[in-house]
Amino acid sequence: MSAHLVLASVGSTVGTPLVGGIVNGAVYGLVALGIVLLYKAGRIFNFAQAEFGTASAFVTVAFLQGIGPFPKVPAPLAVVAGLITGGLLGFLSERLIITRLFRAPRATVLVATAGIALFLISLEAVLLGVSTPHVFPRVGGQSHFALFGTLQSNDSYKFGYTEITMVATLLVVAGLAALFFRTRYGMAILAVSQEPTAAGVVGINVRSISALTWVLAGVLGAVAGIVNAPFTGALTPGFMTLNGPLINGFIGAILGGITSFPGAFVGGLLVGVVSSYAGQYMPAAVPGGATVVVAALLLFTLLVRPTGLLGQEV
Amino acid sequence: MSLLEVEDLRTGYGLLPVLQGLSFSIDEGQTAVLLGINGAGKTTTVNAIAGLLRAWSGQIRFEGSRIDGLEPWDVVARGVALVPEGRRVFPAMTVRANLELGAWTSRAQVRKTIDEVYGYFPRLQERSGQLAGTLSGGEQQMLAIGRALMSRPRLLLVDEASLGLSPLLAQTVFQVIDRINDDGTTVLVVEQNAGVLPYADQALVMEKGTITFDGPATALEGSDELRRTYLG
Amino acid sequence: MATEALPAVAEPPDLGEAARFWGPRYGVWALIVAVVVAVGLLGPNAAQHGVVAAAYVIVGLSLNIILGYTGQLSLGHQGFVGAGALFAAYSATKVGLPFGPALVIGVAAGAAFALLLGFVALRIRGLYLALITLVFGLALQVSLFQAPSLTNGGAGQPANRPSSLLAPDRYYFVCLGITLLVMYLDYRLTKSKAGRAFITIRDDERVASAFGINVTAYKLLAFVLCGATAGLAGGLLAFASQQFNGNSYTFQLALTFVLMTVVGGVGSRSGVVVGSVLFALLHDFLATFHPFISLTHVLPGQLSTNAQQFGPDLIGALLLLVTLAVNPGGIHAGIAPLMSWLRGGDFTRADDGPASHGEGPSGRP
Ligand SMILES: Nc1ncnc2c1ncn2[C@@H]1O[C@H](COP(=O)(O)OP(=O)(O)OP(=O)(O)O)[C@@H](O)[C@H]1O
Ligand SMILES: [Mg+2]
Repeated sequence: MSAHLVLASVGSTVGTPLVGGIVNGAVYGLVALGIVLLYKAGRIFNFAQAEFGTASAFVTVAFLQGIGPFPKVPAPLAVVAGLITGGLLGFLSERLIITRLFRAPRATVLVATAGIALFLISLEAVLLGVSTPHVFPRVGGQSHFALFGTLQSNDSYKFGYTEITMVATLLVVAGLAALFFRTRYGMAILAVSQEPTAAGVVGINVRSISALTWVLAGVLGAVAGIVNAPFTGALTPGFMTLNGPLINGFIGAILGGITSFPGAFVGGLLVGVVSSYAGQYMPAAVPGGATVVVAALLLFTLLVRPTGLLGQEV
Repeated sequence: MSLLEVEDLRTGYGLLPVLQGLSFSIDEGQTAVLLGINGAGKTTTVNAIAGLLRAWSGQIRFEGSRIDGLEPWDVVARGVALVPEGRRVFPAMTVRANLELGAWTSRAQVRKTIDEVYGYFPRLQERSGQLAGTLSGGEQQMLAIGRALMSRPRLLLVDEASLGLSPLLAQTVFQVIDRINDDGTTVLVVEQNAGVLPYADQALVMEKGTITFDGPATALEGSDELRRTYLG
Repeated sequence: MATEALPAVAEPPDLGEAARFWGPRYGVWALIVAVVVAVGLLGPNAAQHGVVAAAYVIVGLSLNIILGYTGQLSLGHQGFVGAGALFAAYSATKVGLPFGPALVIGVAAGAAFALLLGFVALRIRGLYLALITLVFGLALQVSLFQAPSLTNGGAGQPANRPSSLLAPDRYYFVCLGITLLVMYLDYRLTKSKAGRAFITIRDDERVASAFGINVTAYKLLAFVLCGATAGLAGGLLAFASQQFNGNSYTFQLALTFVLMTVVGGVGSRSGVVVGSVLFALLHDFLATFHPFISLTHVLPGQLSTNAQQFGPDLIGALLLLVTLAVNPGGIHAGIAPLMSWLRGGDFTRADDGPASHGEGPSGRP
């Protein structure tokens, strides 16, 4: 047996869940980044974070395929339209709902964000229905790589959509990190979160910074949704909220210590990989094994290390 | 024309009125001190000037144009900076980052202004990399004043300059305020400490939301009666 | 001062007299009773919907215990309700227990799972606990509710009603009776020592323990009561559809439960009851509501069908957002004067729930 094939067989038992886990985990990590951003900025748990992604993915797919009133446009333009959708949804949520809950208890704000998510899910259902699922085209074709377990005996490596989405994700994360840490607006977001009164007094327009924060969160949600869409296959209303990314994103954010951006992304990856292996190796007699394992991970973290596994504020 | 004019200002919290028709003015280049017992409405007054609190009626004019109704960030841009009650530095940021944020509205000469602030408060330069939340109370007060100066204001409002400072440090802060004033900034200080009077030109005394004394600081200093009532 | 110069408007004494006149009050009460009874007499369809509404009311009151009385948010109520439904169905069909005892098993199941969560709640608070409840509900939903041994390999667990309760109208009146009993017990709870302890704990835990209130015990009690009522509602729902289907108890349902409680008015019994009925019947109501129907007919093709199917959900979510943004007191704030009047007081705003809402959405000026 050639080394090639050994690699392939090892790859398919160990590597397949790994690559699946990393792909899912990257999505969870992106959701977690948005959650951490809004938590840092205003101590808000945003339950609409993943749904920003669903809506944006639908807009992107509509432009990609020219569904309904949407003209068919090239892929990059369709993606940009999706990102704009996410930003706009974040902006509207902040302006119309969140600002009005300035003095409300945090549980109420949480309910409000959950309401935004439910509103978007129902809106998607009304506009698209659930009977005709929309499939997001996979750009770049299937990847073939030994370690990732999909290598046939005499295939050679081919750069495919898995790699494309991973690279795109990294670029987006790097871009947002630069925006946050390298421009004065990132500083302003932190200033508003630490001392809103003082931020206003030094001349920061607290209102626009709050809106900007939500726009950023919306764009992050959109990236998560658009990255996730090709791997999801048939898109159904609320797929980001109801099928895992929202909850696993939250768990990732908490594993990362809820205030750390790198922690959140790594936490999301961890949740992705853990649930992928749990799904593979939990006995079939235990349905939902992956969810149970991840739930146990969250409970363990909160009880034993409430500051998160990786936690310090960055 | 005075730099700051407050005319028949009324405001409060919710339905509770605090300022009941407040009028005073401060001339350019002066150092004014605002005195009054706890709860008299001093913080309410400076917060209203800085835009943190809406005026219910009356006017606040700065350089002749109205600033009541403006948001705090617009007031700063006009040249009025506030050192808020309780200091309110950004705790999880370094001293230097706090100062840089102070220059949000006037980014032209950040370096130069930081050096000026370090000139007033050499201690801040020593601590420039330290997180503001870990500074001592007195150092936080210096940082709060320094941060306000970063916007290169024409009028500096300081709420409780010496609260919680040792007598020696309080004197130092008063001296720095005096220097700031000498360098051309008009200053309004809210104070409970009589030690500020020698540095002040104008004294204002507040009682239950109105001004009960407005005159030269020396007049207040000379009057034992007034001193005893308001400064103990 | 000009703003307070308004002289007090002369008090009309005759209005006070009218408020003490009981005739119209009895009239309104009679109307409410008539509507509630009529639901049972309007045929099996109406009765079936009435049963669901009654169960939702119980769920709403259950959430109100945890959210309104102790200030904790539960996003996993589909778990407690589903557990009650599953175990009631299982013990009726597989164990062969009669209706009553099977229902009690459902109550016990809800209470047991809530107690488990209650122990976690002693260590974890606020938003984190909300997240834990979410994950807990989800874990039950994807594991227990799908367990092949409990659900006939995922096909669902039958829960047949005894022949005496087979007719939907009879079952409706049983559910109605149980719901009224729960409402009465909830009322007794708020007036009891435990009820006052809950409020004190919600407002400030340290103050509560300084008063000698056993915070740990009362927190666990609140969770158990909350889980027990949710389990009861689950049992009633299982017997309503005569089967337990794990796919009915989803995260989305948990969100709907929270929605109806908040729209109703957290901390207010009457508000929560109205909110729960509203959300339970929103689909049925809109399906016969002419402006809504004609609106959906205006829409082209598939959109019209979708709007009929999912429009009610959209409107429900919109109701929540409008409630939070415009009228944080919820329905309660709107009906409070009516409720006060119906109880013999003046037609003025009065709180029928526990005093000031520390964690309620009305906590802003
Ligand atoms: N946020 C608020 N809500 C309600 N009332 C307030 C608020 N802030 C201040 N007050 C009330 O307004 C009055 C004036 O308060 P203010 O803070 O202006 O007093 P002060 O003169 O600065 O007192 P001190 O010397 O103690 O700082 C007080 O009676 C105070 O209780
Ligand atoms: Mg004060």
